[in-house]
Amino acid sequence: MAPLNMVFGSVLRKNIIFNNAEVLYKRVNLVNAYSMYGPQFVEPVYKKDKQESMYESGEIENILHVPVKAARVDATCSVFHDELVRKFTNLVMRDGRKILARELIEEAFEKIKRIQLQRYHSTEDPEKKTSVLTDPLKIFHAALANSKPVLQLTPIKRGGVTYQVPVPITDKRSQFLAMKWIILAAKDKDPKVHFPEKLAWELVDAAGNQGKVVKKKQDLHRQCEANRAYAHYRWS
Amino acid sequence: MRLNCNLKIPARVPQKEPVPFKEILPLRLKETVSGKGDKTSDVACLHEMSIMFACFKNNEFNQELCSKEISSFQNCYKDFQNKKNIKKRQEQKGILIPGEKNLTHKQLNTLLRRFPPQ
Amino acid sequence: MVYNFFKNLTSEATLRGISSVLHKQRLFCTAAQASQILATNEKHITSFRTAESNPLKHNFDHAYRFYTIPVEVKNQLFQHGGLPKYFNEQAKAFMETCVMVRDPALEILHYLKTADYSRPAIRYVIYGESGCGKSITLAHILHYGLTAGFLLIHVPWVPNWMRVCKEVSNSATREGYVDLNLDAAEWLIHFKNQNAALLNNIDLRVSKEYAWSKREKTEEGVPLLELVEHGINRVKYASECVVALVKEIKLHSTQGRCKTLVVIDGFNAFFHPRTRVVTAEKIQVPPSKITLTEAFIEITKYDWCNGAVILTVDKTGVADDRRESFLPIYQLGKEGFEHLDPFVPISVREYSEKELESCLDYYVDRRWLQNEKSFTEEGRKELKYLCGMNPRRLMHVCAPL
Repeated sequence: MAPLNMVFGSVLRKNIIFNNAEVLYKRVNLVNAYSMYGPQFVEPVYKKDKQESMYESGEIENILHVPVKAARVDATCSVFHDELVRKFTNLVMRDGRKILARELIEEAFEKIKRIQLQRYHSTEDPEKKTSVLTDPLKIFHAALANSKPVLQLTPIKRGGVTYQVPVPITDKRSQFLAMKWIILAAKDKDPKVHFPEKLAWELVDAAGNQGKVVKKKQDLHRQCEANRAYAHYRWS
Repeated sequence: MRLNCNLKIPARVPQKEPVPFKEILPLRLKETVSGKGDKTSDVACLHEMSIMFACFKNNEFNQELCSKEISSFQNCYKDFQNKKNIKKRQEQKGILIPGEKNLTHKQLNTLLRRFPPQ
Repeated sequence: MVYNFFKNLTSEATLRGISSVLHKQRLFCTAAQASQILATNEKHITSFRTAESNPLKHNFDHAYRFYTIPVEVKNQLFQHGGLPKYFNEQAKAFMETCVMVRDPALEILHYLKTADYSRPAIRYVIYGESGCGKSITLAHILHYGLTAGFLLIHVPWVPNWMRVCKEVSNSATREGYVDLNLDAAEWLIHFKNQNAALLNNIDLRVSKEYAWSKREKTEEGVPLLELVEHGINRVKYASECVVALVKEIKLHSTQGRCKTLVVIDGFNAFFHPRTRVVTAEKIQVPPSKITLTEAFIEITKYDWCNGAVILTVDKTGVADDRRESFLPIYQLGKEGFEHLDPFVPISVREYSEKELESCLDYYVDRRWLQNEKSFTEEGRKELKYLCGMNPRRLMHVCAPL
């Protein structure tokens, strides 16, 4: 803890030295004690529009003359880059095969498009046509939003008995659970069916508030509701 | 083997009642307070949670109809977490506030350092 | 050279009048797209589409625009191959089969229209980098051939026979040769599908008797379709049937009873020293020892007239050791080059700026490009950079967007 205590560089205007361990959660990137980067390193801003807005607002002065961490492999300045898709790719990835993970997801997006285009072209009603989402990215976002649980069950042990207590959930964890459930549902398939195709169907179903993942989320909510008495016992 | 064991008496013999008392650890309180008693089981947002559950029950777990309750529950939790973080940061400083009733272990330790027990 | 002269001539404002205005309008349209999301309107649609679906009438007016192949024509021509697999999937997603009218195809169509058919058949060899549009160019020319009343001899993809053959059997009639009978029968079905309508109108008869076995024979004077039927029904003799059929057609063409268009994709596979065709004794068979090869070597010679031969050399159709260059002389080798020499080389290049814009507009119109950012100028610039102007790579890059 001593090196951690010594210099906690504030990225703001001056280096502030603290004797006790004060961590500035708000402004500075969370410092990892085992990281090869010292506390003065800043996360890179790789999106062009974010950079431009930082120039306009003047925030850029904070990071312009400060050492920057190396860019990640999947952090591109591409116009089509999406943060959620990046996270999802990481969860799909196994054994560090990022390229394969990316290809699987791209194929899944293509399949989503084909499924939705077929639906779009088969309906004659113009109202129904406009309601059919054909953008795979939008479907992905919708699927995630529909699969996110609102609260979770934690096991709490009291008097030798483990109770499943419903507890609030952070947004990040909720997002992670949604992504994980989607991937698990996509893996649960006939071996002849390819992963991208199954993933595409799962995403399309979830976006339409149907399918296994949404059902799992609703089952979780039902269980939480059934166990709501435990929450009242002053446990957290 | 223990430093204060009696080698003259064999181990298989039952002990002689009453057992003489030996002061191994000092019979004094420590000069610091541990942090174990500080933990409060504060439960957050139970009220919002129960409202949300009632709404769920009514609408058969259809999230779209309960969006207001859900957002109020999530906001409550976010506020709770923010307050908790601020409180934690304050506590870690160990700053003494005059007239405070429930002191944290850090505050007590600063007091004890200032006024050590004899 | 002749084609380029014509091209320059047609682009002069004084001669073209209206069409040059349209041309400029199209360019203006693309310039106005700068940073707006595209709106589909009449003017815009004509910038990347043309209503002219008759290839007989295609000329530089319709260049760099998509024309639709009617469904009946597609079923007649491409039921058993001819369009790349991924292209077919795209056509299914777009609910239509659209092909871009590009310079190489227009060039060949011009030559086909103006050639002297009393002279020996001219061989045209289409070459180009992978994914640049050779097969699609062939498809366009096939469509032209159909509408112009040519008898079509179309081999969708030669490496299908050389590397992914269905069944190998030793030839009964030729010593040391190998038959690919199932493939031959499939090809005969394909031939029949494409040419049945034409053969019912033109009466072509078999010129001599063919004895397949002691009891089976095809008499002289029987309609050509019967020869085809025989090959389909008696798969054992399918390869020999193909050879016989091709020789008959050559004869009929030379005698002026029909005009033939020979379209072969992946012709260099006939001249690669190795194939994946393996006999029952696990011996690799070179293309020169396969019966089917003979048929198509025959038809690509210049000793017949009243026809044209359009071939493609594709480096993806041969083994890994011959993929350094896509040029005809490298792909055909000494033997192939000498066989085809002299030929007209047609190069299929990557997309030009106009073609790329047209393609992207088409994808937007067909709802293939869905990402919001792909409608903006930055997005399009990025797509252009990512695909490197290669048509197939553009297709794959746009797939998840």
